Amino acid sequence: MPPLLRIDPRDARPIWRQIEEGVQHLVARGALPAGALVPSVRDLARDLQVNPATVSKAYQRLTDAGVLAVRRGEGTFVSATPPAVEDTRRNVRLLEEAVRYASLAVTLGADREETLATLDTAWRSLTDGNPEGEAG
Amino acid sequence: MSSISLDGLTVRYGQRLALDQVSLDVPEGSVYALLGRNGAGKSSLVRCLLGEQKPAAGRALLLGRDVWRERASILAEVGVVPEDPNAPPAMTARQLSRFCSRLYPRWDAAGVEARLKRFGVPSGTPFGKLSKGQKGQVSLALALASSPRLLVLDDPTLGLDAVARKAVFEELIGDLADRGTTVFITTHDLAGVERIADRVGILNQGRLVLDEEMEALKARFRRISFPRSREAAVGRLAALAPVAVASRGWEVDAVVSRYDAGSLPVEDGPEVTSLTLEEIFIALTGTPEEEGR
Amino acid sequence: MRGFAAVFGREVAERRMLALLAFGLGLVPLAAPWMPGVGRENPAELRSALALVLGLGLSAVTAILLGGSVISRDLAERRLGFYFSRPLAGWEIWAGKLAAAAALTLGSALLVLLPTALLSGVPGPRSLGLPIAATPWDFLALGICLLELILLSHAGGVILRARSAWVALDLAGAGVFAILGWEAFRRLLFTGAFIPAQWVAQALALLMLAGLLAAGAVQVTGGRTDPRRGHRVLSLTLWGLLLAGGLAAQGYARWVLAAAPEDLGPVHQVKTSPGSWIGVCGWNPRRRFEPCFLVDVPTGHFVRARPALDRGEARLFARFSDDGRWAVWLEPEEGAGKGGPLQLNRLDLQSPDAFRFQANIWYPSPPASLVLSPDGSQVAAIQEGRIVVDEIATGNRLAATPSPRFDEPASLEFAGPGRLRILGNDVGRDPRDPVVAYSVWQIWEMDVAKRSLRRTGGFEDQFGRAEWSPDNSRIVLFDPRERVIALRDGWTGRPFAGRAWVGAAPSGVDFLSDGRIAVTASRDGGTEVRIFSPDLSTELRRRRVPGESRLWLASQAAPDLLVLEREPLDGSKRGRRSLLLDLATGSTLDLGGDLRPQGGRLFLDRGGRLLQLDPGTAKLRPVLGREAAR
Repeated sequence: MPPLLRIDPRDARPIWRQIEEGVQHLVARGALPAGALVPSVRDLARDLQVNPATVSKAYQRLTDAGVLAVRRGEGTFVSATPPAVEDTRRNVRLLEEAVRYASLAVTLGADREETLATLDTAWRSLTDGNPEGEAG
Repeated sequence: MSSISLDGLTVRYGQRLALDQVSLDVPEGSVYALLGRNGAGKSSLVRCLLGEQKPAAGRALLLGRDVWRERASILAEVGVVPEDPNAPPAMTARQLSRFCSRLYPRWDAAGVEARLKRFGVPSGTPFGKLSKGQKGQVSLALALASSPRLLVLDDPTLGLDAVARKAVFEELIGDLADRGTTVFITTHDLAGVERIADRVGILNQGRLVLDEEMEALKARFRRISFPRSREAAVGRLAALAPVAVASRGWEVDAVVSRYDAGSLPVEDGPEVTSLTLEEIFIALTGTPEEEGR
Repeated sequence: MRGFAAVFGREVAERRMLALLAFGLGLVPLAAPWMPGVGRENPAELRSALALVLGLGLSAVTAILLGGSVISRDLAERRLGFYFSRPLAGWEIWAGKLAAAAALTLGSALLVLLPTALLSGVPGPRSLGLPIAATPWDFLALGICLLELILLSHAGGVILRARSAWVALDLAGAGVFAILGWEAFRRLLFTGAFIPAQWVAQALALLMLAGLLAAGAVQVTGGRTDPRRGHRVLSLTLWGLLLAGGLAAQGYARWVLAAAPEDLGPVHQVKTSPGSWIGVCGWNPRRRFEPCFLVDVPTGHFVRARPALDRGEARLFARFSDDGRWAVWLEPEEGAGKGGPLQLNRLDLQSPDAFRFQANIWYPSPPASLVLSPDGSQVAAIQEGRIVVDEIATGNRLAATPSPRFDEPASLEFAGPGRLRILGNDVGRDPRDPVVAYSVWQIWEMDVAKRSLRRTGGFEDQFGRAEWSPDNSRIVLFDPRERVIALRDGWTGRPFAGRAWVGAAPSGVDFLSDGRIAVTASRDGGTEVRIFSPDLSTELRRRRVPGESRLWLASQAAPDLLVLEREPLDGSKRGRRSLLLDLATGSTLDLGGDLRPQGGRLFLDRGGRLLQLDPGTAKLRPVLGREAAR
């Protein structure tokens, strides 16, 4: 299976988070279609050279969130239907991430226009399926 | 329960203090990486850990029991990969497997053969005639064959090429995934261990200067760079607990250990980057001359 | 135990080649008789000898090499960690490797001997020309020696390879232990305490074995993979044990040699004196050796005297002066072996606790005759065919003159100031009846100052029991041809008085201490004891002892109390009894059988007890010694 995920040790996020968000990204992009088989914890750990417990944690969160589903004896699959997230939770999450992005932008000294323009570019790249938009 | 519990471990060689009151705990099922420069005391610690050496003070508990006193019975549940593969040179891998099978409660001889075949190590060649990498792989295969509850690896990738190193980690990860063995590993290969360690400890001149979860560690270390002209900012760095501050050309480069996004020394323009484990390690154990401006 | 077996099996398997080598060596003796330059006589013995030499040689070399490498080389090359990181107990590692070394050593020896043994029988020490048979104990001793070799090599390997300062303790400990042990052994050996010496040697050898075993075990289980720590615990354990053993050996030797007369078992030698002191040697059953003492019987005061070793037996050469004031005896040099020179020691019996005097007088070998002058100032001896006279206080040799030679050993006597009398005995034979032998006495005089000898006289003694008077001036004997009791001059041997004798030949003619003459003879179904005046002119007393027996005078317990020995006529020693005869009253008292009179009032019974006669109650009282325990 070609590696679709990469771990960046320089990334500020913990590894499990990188895996979790990476999978989510792949699912959202459609690189991992609904119902597709995902690598086992063991295999993914070996591929990424990470602690299986870390992979396990990420998979657990994804399963809890409804992104992945485990079928005993068969493996782990992308769930058929993407999770229906509650509206309020969804909004809260959107806002949280937005605040995060905004504070980062401020730190880097970007002004409002630049911040919004960059956000726009990112959003488009995801929805257009542009390979440049791959996040680590 | 802790698989390993070191309590005030002190080791002396004459006047020199090789280990100074080292205490750490390795929770069951976790992977602990012990880092340190040469001469930091890692070998002494591992010897105390395995009951080969009696500490001047303190205790080493393995699987809950004092390892100096109950070494033989504890080691039935422990797999050891030594830094220097030291099996008798005349014995072949097969003979070694047979020898060990009489000592442990469980022994997977077929597994040893399979692993060696995977590595391409001939099991009928005398140990002394194998290359360093092959010796290390035999040691690892032997260590894993007894289905140990704890694995102790002392610099298992020293002197190995990239391919061999990858093979070692793959075996390790496979074993972790299958059984959840506790792993204690001392190493110089920081990049390799960075991904699989849950907890990391750093030994510097006999003292344990760090003992922390990998995640937390990486979360609180950052490199902050800002133009030199902002001299006053250096003073405000103190709140972030800098460990290394260097002036480079027009920039000040500071590694801080208590990063807080809310209290940056300058409002505009500081460049904040995360650090790899290697960079954190160098920052913490570099010689004093490297610090300061 | 599994771990022990695994280590053992592994060590042995690694050295399989040794078996091949041993067997190959074992084939060499088979081919020996055909090798060029080798004699053909007795091929079987040649093979045995060669096999034995090769076997012992190979096992010794194997013992040293294996002992030095089986642990200490792994320790030095940091390979012991392989064992210590496994579930192997320290003792399993030690015992497994040691047992393998022992098995390989003994096994290789057996393999070398095997082909020869199959062909001509098991070789023993006889093959090497040694006239001893090999007992199972010898093989055990050999095995222990090999084991000690292995252990010594191991200890040496650990010590040498550790390169730590504890070597100083090893050197010091070895030196002290050797000194303590050897000194104790030697002291016992040269005091004649052979059995204790042998025990000390054996005990120390076993202690060394135990010490090395324990020290090795401690080194492996306590020192583990640390060579320096291992050396430290090995040295402390080994020398702690060995020094304790050395001190114990010293203490034991001290205890053995501190034997006192009251501990004596059976008494073997007694030397009586005119006074109350005696010289005595006996067997000490608890300490298992034969000490000698000079003892003052009434008070129990004693002085230890080291006996000379005369042909493996302890002999006390003790002499007392006539005035009862001085005692001399010969002691071998401290620490000298048997056959060494003997030194004269003198003791003032009036103040025996004073320092004993060691005279500067030495005899290269035990003298044939030794006498002390009446005043205790000079001593004379016949030594290697010479008569030597020395002054004790100064050690000056007053005379050394070749002694005249006789058929029988001569005896010496101080006979007046500056005068020695030498009595010699030649064997004369009747030409008409050569089987019959009689004594021909030779009397010589030596002038000490002039160092000259001259023959003063001689006489034939058909009776064979001539006696000299206490002052040496007269001789009394029975002449069976003339049937007279004759008195002769003590120096010339010429007869000057006699008394005709009627009846059976006397069984004994003796002088009493005051010069009276006692004659015992059978008469009318009994024995008569007749006492005559010193010149034989008057019969002073006649007493009768009933019963047919042979009777003779053994000693004089008091002026009128005689101790007689009585033997049945058929001469069987079993019926010998001792009798006390009171001359004044004529009454006799049977003292008992199997008593050997020692002179004066002392007797030695068959069990070895020294008994003293109390003249008042006529009872025998034990004074020294005990019967041997059954």
